[in-house]
Amino acid sequence: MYQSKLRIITNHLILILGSAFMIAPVWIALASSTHTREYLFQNGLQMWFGGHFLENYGAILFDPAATKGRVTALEMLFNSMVLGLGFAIGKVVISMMAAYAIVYFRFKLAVPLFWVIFATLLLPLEVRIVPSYEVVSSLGLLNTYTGLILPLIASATGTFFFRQFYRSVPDELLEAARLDGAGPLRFFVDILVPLSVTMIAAIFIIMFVVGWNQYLWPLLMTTDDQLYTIVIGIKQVYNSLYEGGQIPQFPKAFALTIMATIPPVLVVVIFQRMFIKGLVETEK
Amino acid sequence: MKRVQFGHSPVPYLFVAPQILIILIFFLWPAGQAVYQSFLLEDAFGLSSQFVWFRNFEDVLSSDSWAKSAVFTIVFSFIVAFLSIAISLFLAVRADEIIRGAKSYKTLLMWGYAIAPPVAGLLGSMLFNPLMGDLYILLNSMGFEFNHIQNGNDAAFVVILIAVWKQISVNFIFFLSGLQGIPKSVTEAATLDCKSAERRFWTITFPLLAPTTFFLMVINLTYAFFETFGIIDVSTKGSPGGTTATLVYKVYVDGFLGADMGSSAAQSVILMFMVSILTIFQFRFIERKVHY
Amino acid sequence: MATLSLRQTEKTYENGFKALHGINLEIADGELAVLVGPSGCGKSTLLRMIAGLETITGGEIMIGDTVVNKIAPADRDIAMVFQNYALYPHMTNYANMAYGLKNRGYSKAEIDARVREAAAILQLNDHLDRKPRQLSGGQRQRVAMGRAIVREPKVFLFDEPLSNLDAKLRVDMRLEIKNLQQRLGTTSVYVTHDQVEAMTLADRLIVMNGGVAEQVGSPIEIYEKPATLFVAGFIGSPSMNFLPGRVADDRSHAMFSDGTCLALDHDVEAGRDVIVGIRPEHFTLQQDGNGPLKAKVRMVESLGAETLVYLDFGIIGENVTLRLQGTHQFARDQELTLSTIANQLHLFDRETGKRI
Repeated sequence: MYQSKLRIITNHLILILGSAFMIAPVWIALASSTHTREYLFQNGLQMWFGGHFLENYGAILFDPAATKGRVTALEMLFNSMVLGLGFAIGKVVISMMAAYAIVYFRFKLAVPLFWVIFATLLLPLEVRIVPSYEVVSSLGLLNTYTGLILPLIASATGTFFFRQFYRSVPDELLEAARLDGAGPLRFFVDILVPLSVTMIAAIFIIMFVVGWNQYLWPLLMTTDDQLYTIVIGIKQVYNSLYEGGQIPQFPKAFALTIMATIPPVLVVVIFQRMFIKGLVETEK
Repeated sequence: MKRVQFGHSPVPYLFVAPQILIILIFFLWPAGQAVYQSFLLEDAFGLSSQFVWFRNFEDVLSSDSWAKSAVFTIVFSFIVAFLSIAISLFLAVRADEIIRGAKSYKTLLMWGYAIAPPVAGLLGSMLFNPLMGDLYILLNSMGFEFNHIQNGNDAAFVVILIAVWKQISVNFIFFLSGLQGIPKSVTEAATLDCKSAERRFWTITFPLLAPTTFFLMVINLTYAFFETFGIIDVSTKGSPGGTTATLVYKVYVDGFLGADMGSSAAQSVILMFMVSILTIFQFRFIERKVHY
Repeated sequence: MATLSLRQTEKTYENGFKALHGINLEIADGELAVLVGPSGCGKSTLLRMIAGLETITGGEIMIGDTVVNKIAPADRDIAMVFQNYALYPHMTNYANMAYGLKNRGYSKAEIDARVREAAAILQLNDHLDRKPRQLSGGQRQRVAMGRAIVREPKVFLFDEPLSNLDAKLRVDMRLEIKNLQQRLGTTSVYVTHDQVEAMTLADRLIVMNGGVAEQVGSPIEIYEKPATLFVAGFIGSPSMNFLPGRVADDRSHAMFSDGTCLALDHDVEAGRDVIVGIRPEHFTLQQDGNGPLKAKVRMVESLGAETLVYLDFGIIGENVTLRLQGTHQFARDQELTLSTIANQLHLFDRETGKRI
């Protein structure tokens, strides 16, 4: 299609500005994380790298004192990984199965169960956060991975994604499989799961990022440092920035922020196509 | 549903069981708990409680702080939704026209999806840090006398800016794929019929994007309602004086920090009600779209 | 090898809609029966009931000597070819064909032998390791047929298998299916809405309409002696022309409202209201202007080997089709004179639509 030179140039200009707007805060944090705290204190935030990259990142990764607690950033990263993976795997497995039951079977409780599942979409964890905390606490699950992950899985978004997808699978495939002698389990394992591979991958990626980025729930239910995820850890570090009358440890706080950002960003950028496909097609 | 389904079999019960079990324990029980608690009044030490019917609701709905928070939440949500939708639509339209380097721009604009709201909040509060924040210094050197620590409007500006920044990438992804879904022939026909690019956009492209825009409006409102919790908690903490506390943030503050369980539960129930309406709205819309 | 019998087979859906009103049908061993009719006539439903994909709500279906009403689809010993192929997209073509045998516990060697034999028949040997999406539409259809063949079932069911193919390929595949069916000698039921496909393939043709089998017979029987107005209109292209008239007092003519008379060769009482059916090819053009029918030319379509002329008969019928061999030139509004032959006219009762 014909485009004027001017239009092409302004398009690029606008997109470059937009990209800069998105990147600038993270860039500044990254650059500033490689300076000493004294330098930052005197000269303000930095746009370019200093010489203390290894020092600052080494400290937060391996020295618990740098993260103001008893856990290092490395341990926090591990916890975040457990949360991200556990959340994604749990969500995918559970919702695949539930959606299969709802779409492919005629059974007595199908309708009431569907509505129970649907109801979870109405109420995000945020609005029932206080009683959820009490329930998990009375089950003795505070400060456990189980207590961290399961309540987050209780929302049925994944089930609806898969339901949508299954409904788009041609009916004839099930019919052909039945004529080929496949029962409910075999159809699921041999046909439906392999067919869903891209869908599973896309939802997995989205859920991993969502899980990794969880904030409110981990904040409430991990009172023990040992279970801090990196997102929670950052808050902890920022909260204690001004303690003790010393020069605030901004570089290390920025380093931690960058560490928290890299894994989900990498996942999203590397699996970009799959991720966008999953996001756009499932939400529609 | 499906034209053909499996008949009698224990399989569906087994398959749906894990989901239902988790929902029962971690959803229905707490939700019920919230409703129950919203009718109770606890004494100051949390030792005894009595059933007070709708008193908590009356207290909440008639309190100034709740009304203030409700107004802020609604204004905040609409501003955030509108701004982030407008900016990302603008970017997406330009990105859709680009031929060279389209992929790079797409990556540069969409990666922000992966940033956690509290991380966005931290990055924002860093830029507005009175000691060294570039934006803080910039705004004040321009003579704005900007002070988000004490001035409610300035604090709201910070929260909105961060919330919009965080949401641009999601909207951008949806708009770009929406634009790419418009058949080339339609755009070409439009260029033959209409010379002005701007007019073309408002008369052809925008109406075709209406379903996406509407969908994003709902998504963005939900986001501004709930997911901005992280942003607020690390940037302003609702300060000064609760001016930037959304309803969700207030539930947390009253329930966990203030330990006023009855009031917090009543607020939760009111929120549940509000968000249910929003979700049903969205769901009906999505379902309708699927049947196209 | 088996016969297929339908006895008063009925289908009523849960919402009360009656899709099939008692179908009776005997399909002999090795026969290719074609169910044809407009969409919504119940032909696909009937096929799916034979397959076991829809429940039977009345009557019974027998394959050989067994009533299969309650037997699961997989145990009925039938194989089906679907309109959209319904191949498993994630499996190779080999695995697609082998899947049904694997589920039935055949040995690897046996499966391999059968798949390779079917592939040889269908010329698919070079494509066995590929996935369905790497094949053309025609090849996919062959894989779908291969999947049916390897099972060596008692009955083949075809659900509009050619409607996703382009016109040229459709003709080729039609011949191929016919060949294959004759070679294997397997009893087959074939559903289509395309009457040309139906005419060319069928040993026995079943014309369906509104959940009823309107007529069962050989294609030629049905073409020559359509039992109802519906069948007469549905079979044959272009469609038969229908002219409403009345049997004259002498019982040897049909009279029309404008006074035109056509000679009849039917045993029918005088004064009966009838519809006279005339196939487009059964008019004779009278160049000398001597003939009972006068018409004006509305439009001409030249197809090369034949010419279709759309005529206006005035109040008798405004849209009548005439088919002539070879090429002809006519001007618009030109007047033509036509005649008919008595024993080529079809007579239907105007009330019941039944053949007289």
